[in-house]
Formats: sequence, C-alpha cells, structure tokens
Amino acid sequence: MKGDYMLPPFTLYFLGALLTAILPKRLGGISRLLLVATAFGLLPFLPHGVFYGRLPFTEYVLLIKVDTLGLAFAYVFVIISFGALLYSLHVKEKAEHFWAMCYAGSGLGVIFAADWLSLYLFWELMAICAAFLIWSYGTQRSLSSGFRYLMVHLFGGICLLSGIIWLNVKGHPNVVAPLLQTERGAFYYLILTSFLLNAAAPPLHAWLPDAYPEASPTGAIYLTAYTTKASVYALLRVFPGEPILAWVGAFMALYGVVWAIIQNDIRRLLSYHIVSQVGYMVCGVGLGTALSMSGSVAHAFTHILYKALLFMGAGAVIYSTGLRQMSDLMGLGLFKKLRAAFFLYMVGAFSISSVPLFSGFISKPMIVEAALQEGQMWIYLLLHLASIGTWLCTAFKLPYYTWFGPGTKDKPLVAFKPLPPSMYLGMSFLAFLCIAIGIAPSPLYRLLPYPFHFDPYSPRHLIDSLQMLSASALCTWAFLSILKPHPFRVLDMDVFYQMLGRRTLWVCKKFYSFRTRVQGWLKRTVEGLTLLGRNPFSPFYTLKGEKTPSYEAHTYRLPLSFGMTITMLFFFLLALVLIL
Amino acid sequence: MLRLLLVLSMAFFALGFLPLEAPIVHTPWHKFRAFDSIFGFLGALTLIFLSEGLGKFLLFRRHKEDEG
Repeated sequence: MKGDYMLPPFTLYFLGALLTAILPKRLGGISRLLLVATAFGLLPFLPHGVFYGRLPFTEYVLLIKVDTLGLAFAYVFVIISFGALLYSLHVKEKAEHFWAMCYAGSGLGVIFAADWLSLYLFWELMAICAAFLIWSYGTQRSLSSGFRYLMVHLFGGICLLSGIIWLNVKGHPNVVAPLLQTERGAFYYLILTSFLLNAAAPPLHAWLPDAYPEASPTGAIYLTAYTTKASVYALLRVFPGEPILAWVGAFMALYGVVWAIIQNDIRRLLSYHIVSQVGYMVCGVGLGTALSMSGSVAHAFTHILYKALLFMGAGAVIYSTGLRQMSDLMGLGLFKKLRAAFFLYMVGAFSISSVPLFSGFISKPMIVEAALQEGQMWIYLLLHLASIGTWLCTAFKLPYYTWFGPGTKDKPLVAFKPLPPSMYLGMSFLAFLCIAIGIAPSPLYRLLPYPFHFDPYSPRHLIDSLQMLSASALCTWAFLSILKPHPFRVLDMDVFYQMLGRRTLWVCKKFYSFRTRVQGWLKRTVEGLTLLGRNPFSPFYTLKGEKTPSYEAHTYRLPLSFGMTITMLFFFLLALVLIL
Repeated sequence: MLRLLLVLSMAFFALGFLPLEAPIVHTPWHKFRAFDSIFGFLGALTLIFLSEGLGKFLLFRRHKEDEG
C-alpha cells in the first residue's frame, strides 16, 4: 500500500453535482461536461496500486485501488456519463442532473473502493441516488417504483453489510479481494446474494423492469449503466470462478429474453434485455477462465454503450409521442417522423445482437466461446439461444411495432414533438462508439485485465454468426405477426412481491385493528373513571337504566364532601389505632 | 424482405461448407457445418412459440396497463 493521498476521480462527479445545485442551468451544464471530460483525461494517468483518498470537506479516509480491472470499468462509466450528459443537455430540471451526477459518482466509487466499508458506503449511496433519480421524473408511477427500488436495494445493502461484519468477525482483512471458495460461510452467501440482487439475477430481478421504465427518458440512460455493471465488477473482484455463477448467468440470459419477447412497453422490453445481457457477464465470471472473464469485462463495456443507445432510442420515441406501449405506437407512421432516431436505434440493436462490425460481436462471443472451450455444452446452447432471442426481439419486434407496424382506423391523433438536437448528439456519439469498437476492437482488448487469445473476425466465427443471424431473422420475419404486442402488462416475479406486500399489509391491518380496539377500551375506561370522579352516583343511574344527569356542584358538593370527610376520619382513626 | 432473408440464409448455409478453417470439435454437433443455421431457425421458432405460449397460458396474471 502506498502511503500517499490521491484525489479519487469520482470526487469530480460529486463536485459536478454541487455545481449543478449552485450554478445557473447553462453554466451548470458546461461545468458538468468539463468535469466529466477531466475525469476521462485523468484516468490514463492514474498510477496503479492502493492509495489513501480523502473525501473533500470530510475527515473520512478511504482506500482506493487502481488496477486494470477497475480502470476498464472506470473508462466506460465515464464515457457513458458523457454520452448521457450530451443526450440530456436540453433537460432543465436541476434535481435530475444533481442525482445523476451523484449516482455516476457513487458508481465510480464502487469501482475504486479497495476496502469493504467504502464499497458498502458507495453501494448504498448508489441505491439512494438511483431512487432519487427515478423520483425526479415526478410521475405517480415513478414515485411508486422508485420506492420499491429503494426497498429492494436496502435489503441487498443489509445483506452486504451483514456479510462484511461477519467477514470482519472471522478475522478477514478489510480489503475487497477474492473470497476463498473453500471457506464458504454465511458471509459468503450474504455477500453473493447482495451482488446478485444488484445484478438482477432471477428471482431477485423484478426491481429492474419495474423501475427503469418509470424513470425519465434521460434519467433511464444513467440507470442502465451503473447498478448492474458495478455488480458485475464486484462479482469479478470477489467471486471469480464461482461455478454456480455460470449456471445462474446462463439462466439469466435466457430468462430475460423469454420475458422480453412478451412485453409491450418498449423500455420494459429493453430492461429485460439488461437482465439477459448481464447474464452473459455473470456466466463469464462463473466460468472463471481468462477468456470468459475478459469477455465479461468487454461485454460490460460494450453493453453499457449499446444499451444506453437503445434506451436513448426508446426515450426519443417517448419524448416525441408521449407513448410507450408498442400497441399504441404501431401504425402511427413513426418512421417518417423519427427516421434518424430509428437508424441510430438500429445501431444499438445490431450491437446487442452481435452482428459483425458492431460492438457486441467482439465481446459476447468471447463468453460463448469460453463456455465451449470449457466443455460446458448446455451453457453454450443456452447462451446461443438467448442470443437468438435478443436478435429477434430488439432488431425485429421492437423496431417493427414501434416505427412501422399495422395500424388501425381508430388510432388517436398524436401530436409529435420534435427531438432536441442534444438527443441526436448523444445518440450519435454512442452509435459512433458502437461501430468503432465493432470495427476495431484492439483498443478495447488492450484494456482488458486477463491475457487471452480471441479473433472475432476469424472466417469460421464470422460464418457461424451470419448463419445463425440470417436463419433466425428468416424465421422471425415469417412469424412476426405472432409477436404482435398486446395492451397488457405482464407481471413477473413482482406477483410474489405483491403477494408478500398484501400479506404484510394484512398483518399490519390486523395489528392496527388490535391497537385501535385496545385504545378504544382504554379510552372508554378512562372516560368512565373520569365520569365516576365527576359524579360518583353515575353508576346507579346506569344500573337503573336512567340517563346520568350532568354534574351540578350545588347538588353533589355536600354529599361528596361529607363522604370524603368520613373516609378521611376513618383512615385517621385507623392510623391512630395502629400507632397506639 | 422474406425472399431476401431466404436468399441470405441459404447463402450463409452454403458458405458453412467451405473449407475455410478447421471446424471446432469441442462438441459433436460442430462437425456439422450448418449447425448454426439449423439452430438459429429452430431456436427462433422455439422462442417465438414458447414466449407466446407463456404469454397466453402460463402467466400468473395479466393487468391492463392503465391499472398499473
């Protein structure tokens, strides 16, 4: 460990949030762009090792680790925040920019945290900032889903904190490092659960398709990038080669795709694809080879870019039309209105589907190939199948039923809002990166932390991919009418969340009813005693079934004072007898 | 569009038989050079009908979007 201090790059993001709050809107926007550009410029010059870092204006000293794994994630985290800033230049709400900067900063904090406590603090901060980012959209649905998001992630945070405390009690050093697979205790599974919850592994994934579609079109771009990928980073750092992760990842990949196909909400569909794509990364971590883990990092890198681009495309549609369901959008002739947005979206669709010359083609097959090399045939097939589902869903179903699609006569007239130039700027920036990485993957491969050999453009791999893409495209086009979206929302594991919520509410209501009854009983007792105190004859009237007359001092004063005198005299005489 | 995709599929199917590179022999099916074409077609078919079936019959519940 080096003894010197270092200014962590994520502090620039928190500074950006501060400037957003205090500066005028235009100046705040410029300062954010400059600070993010500065953070990007600083990254190549960061020395590798473990350093002390002091948070500005605080006495808190944390440990910062800089290595190739962290830097690969840091680069893409900074790049995507720049892209999202470009896309959201037109947004006037300061709150959204403020929480977006804090969220991005805490995501970077997770990447650079070298000790468990710092990791936990940034982990929780990320969840809180994300919830505020969702809430900043201000709709009733965003309020509800943001609250659910926060509840789920606070549960994950509790798991993580419990695991960390357990780890410390067992005498482990307070450094984020791979946990030995031989000493599996409760702490191991608590931390793993927490990481998998953030990675949206089923059945802990329902928060993602619930929350991401409810954020603003611009806020959702940040959300797609940080939480799940920070979790992939944490899995790579702490659980490399954990065998169960290979199967969890393969299941995630297919599960996400199957549920994506039946969605109607365009951003909910894309959210399920996040579950699926993160599945590939988790699988790569579980396979534990240099190729698979490098594949996970590379896929996280490319996925952040193309997924943001896809969400930008969907966000552009929502911004322009105010509609988000494919059943409402189809037949509106959106292609004529949002032609450029369609083509930019398709760059993202080709990237996620691993079409040659697009970014996904150079990263996803690394993991699939690693599964093949390890002889994991079933995992290989599951990943392959998930890849087909991604292709048919993002490149056919969503664009066809959003920009084209059969119309009906009773379609309401929609007032199209023109897209601001900033949206096109952000989308073009990411589309350029998706194509550039797809054509020239070497710079990305040089960033990867583990040595490997993989040539995505070998003739065999190229032909295999083209065979699969063309055959599945043929089948999809032939049966596209079956994929026609229905105006329903399909409930997923959130059914169980709702059941649990209803049961909890039922128990709470029972407790409330019991409390109300006890309170009523106590109130009646006190009222009775008060009445008795005011009018000692009231029970006689009650027994006789007569209405208790109201207290009249002139009527009752004499008998009351007489009674009190007799009682006091009795006690006085009793005391006298006892003393004598 | 369908015809174009059909032509492309057949072309890539045929390209698979070119002796460009030694096939990967980790699994028996990779000796069959049109594996990815067949798997792509059948995989897409399976997913379309699986999802549709799931959407129609196996879902726990469906809610009108307006009801949230």
